Amino acid sequence: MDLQFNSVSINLENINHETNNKNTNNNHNNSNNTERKLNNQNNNCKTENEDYMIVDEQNDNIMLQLPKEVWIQILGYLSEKDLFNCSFVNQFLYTLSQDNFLWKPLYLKKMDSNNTTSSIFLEQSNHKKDTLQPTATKLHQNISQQKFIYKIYKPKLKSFDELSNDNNNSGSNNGENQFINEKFTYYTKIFWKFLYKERKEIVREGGIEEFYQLISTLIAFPLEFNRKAMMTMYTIVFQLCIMNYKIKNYYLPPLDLYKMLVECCHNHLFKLLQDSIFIPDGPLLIQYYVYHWQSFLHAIKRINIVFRYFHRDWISKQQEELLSTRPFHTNLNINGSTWWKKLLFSTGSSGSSSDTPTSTTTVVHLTTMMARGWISVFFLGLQVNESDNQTNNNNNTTTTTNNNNNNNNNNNNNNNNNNNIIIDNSSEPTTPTQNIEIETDAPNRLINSLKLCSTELNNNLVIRFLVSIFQLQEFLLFLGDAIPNLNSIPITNQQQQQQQQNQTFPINLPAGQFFQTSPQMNSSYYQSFSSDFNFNIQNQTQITNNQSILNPNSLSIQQTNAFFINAPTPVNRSYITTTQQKQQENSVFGEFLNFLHSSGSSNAVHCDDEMSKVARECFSFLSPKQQQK
Amino acid sequence: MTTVKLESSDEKTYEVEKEIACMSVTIKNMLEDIGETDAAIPLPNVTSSILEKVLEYCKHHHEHPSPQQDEKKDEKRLDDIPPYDRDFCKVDQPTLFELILAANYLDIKPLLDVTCKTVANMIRGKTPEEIRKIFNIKNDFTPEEEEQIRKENEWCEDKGN
Repeated sequence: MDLQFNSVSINLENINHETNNKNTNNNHNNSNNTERKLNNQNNNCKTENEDYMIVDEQNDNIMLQLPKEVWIQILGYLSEKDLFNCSFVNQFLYTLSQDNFLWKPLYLKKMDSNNTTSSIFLEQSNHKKDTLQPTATKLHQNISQQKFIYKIYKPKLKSFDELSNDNNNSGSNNGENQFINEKFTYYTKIFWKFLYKERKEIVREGGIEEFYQLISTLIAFPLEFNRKAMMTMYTIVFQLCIMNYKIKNYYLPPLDLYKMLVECCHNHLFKLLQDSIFIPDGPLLIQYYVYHWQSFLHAIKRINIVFRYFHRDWISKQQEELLSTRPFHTNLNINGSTWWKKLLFSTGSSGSSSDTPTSTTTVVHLTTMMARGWISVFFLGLQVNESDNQTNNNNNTTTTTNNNNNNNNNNNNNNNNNNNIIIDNSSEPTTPTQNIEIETDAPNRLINSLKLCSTELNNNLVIRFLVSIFQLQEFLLFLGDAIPNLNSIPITNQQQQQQQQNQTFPINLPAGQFFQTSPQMNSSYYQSFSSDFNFNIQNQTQITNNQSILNPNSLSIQQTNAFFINAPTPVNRSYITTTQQKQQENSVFGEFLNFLHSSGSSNAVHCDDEMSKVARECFSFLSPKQQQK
Repeated sequence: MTTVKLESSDEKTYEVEKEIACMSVTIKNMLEDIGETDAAIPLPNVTSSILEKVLEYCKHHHEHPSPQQDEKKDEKRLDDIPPYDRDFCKVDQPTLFELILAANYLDIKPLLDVTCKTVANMIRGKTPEEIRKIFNIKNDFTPEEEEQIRKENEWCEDKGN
């Protein structure tokens, strides 16, 4: 009688106490019950076991006199390691050392990334602070403040909460639910420690930290990345997969790797942007841009390879394991194969690209993602730095159109990047609008540089720049994934359209669609400009391979191929044919312009608007006569 | 200047300034609840020796208010104990724990903080055996339980730092 009365006053729930009391002293070897039993003993020792209590009081009366809260406060000053040492001391301290009050701060302090843009995985993220320091401009701040990483554990916590509520409601009166209830309270009690442990293991065994370093290096210096480093990356990915496979009771959200990649990309691009501030407008800037784009291309290529490896080992196992073994998977928004399908094919599989706000997570293909990152951060950044006025551009005709084009390109790039980077649907709507505002206000630096190039008759640079834009567009549209911009940037589109109408130029250019055609077409088209386009083809083939590897179970390769083929619209095809003909006649530019005029008002891929504008600008520089007529 | 009388558990009475006494949230609340009285406030949980120490601490900090450091409030640091407090806590263990109890009972947050930090510093970096020794704690684990805990904490053991 005393027992039960006592237990009521203690924090634990009645049910737990009853069961514990029944089981006391019998389950010494039962690991699951150990902790609760310990707890129970501690709480009940005074009433339950007189001798025990007396011994305790004699030996360490001081300790027992201190209330639990005080001990929690004391232990709260300690590190994880000290907590472990404490847990070995005796049962009282053991119980205390599991407390959520201790582990939640530890977890939040070390692992949570809500406050900073990074450091989910990294306990020491000092190296990132240098690159992430936003410069004075508004744009930079906006970019850096965007949430590139969403809270991984929010769904997890949520599920825990739901479970607890359910159990409290239903299980309190029901004997059958006692077991569940027990189990649940066990989990909740040490929940934060549990999370902490997860993170720790991922960081340590998985080599996430090293992986991060390597990835950032790879993005920044793809060409200097030697074989040994590549092999190290493979190894780490492999270890990650093994880890994920081995520890069945938790999952490392696969998005984490993507988030890490996005973060690295962002840091790199941001650094580029910062460096570009010191580069004067004109040919130098274009050179800078083109050079880094080339290196970024290599980075994309290699990262694709790494992640392909990751997909191979991870996805298949994820599909097998997730549904069967993960205890709380049903409450999480990551759900096996369908989730992966969504991740890999994003909105493209749905067919109609424009109408797909879609469901939980919209993630884009890796290549597209990185390309968009490039656009949003770097392109947008370049645009903002300049002091030219867009208003001038809108009012003027030929000379300013160049500026407009450049601005548009920058805007497009920025928009694209935003879409790619933001993995969460929730965050998408906010960021694009910010960018839009920035774009409209900001003068365009790239356009200016292009103009300078053209005035200096440095057409080579302009061409190279144009090519880079084409490449970019191709990457963006790789999976027929023209949609993301629509979801995020309705305002911008309208604005752009208005601008276009004012300019008497139809601005909705299907240039992106144009590049979305078969690799052969693209290559031939590119070859008219310069020689370096083998890379594009390689990339495409590589990515197609990637796709087929990625979803062995869900989608057949044929389907993916079909998807590719279906992507270009009839308009695009006609355009392509015309361009081919024109290529033969060496009048590609004129054809391109004609195409722009003719199809401008028709349905176009919105995400390409600004890029096509830039492209048109380039064309206009290269062949001013054509544009005038 | 108004004063209040505090009576320790061994029935010694101390007359202190009201402001000093009100560093204890408990006393402050009580005074607000029952109003000013001439009668001594009984503190049955605090002995006279401890109460003297506590009042000494309160007096000192009343005269030397510590600069506000609310900005770093979230950071739990162990090395920011001011010199006076550090010396103040250089007492034998029973006294220290009595102080903690009193601070907790009287709800004097700065005192509680500093004493808890002192204890935490005693624990920090120690092995379990050392901790047992320091606090005279008996190991009440069965070998099975010990093994179980060890297994549980494996993920931290070999961290190396």
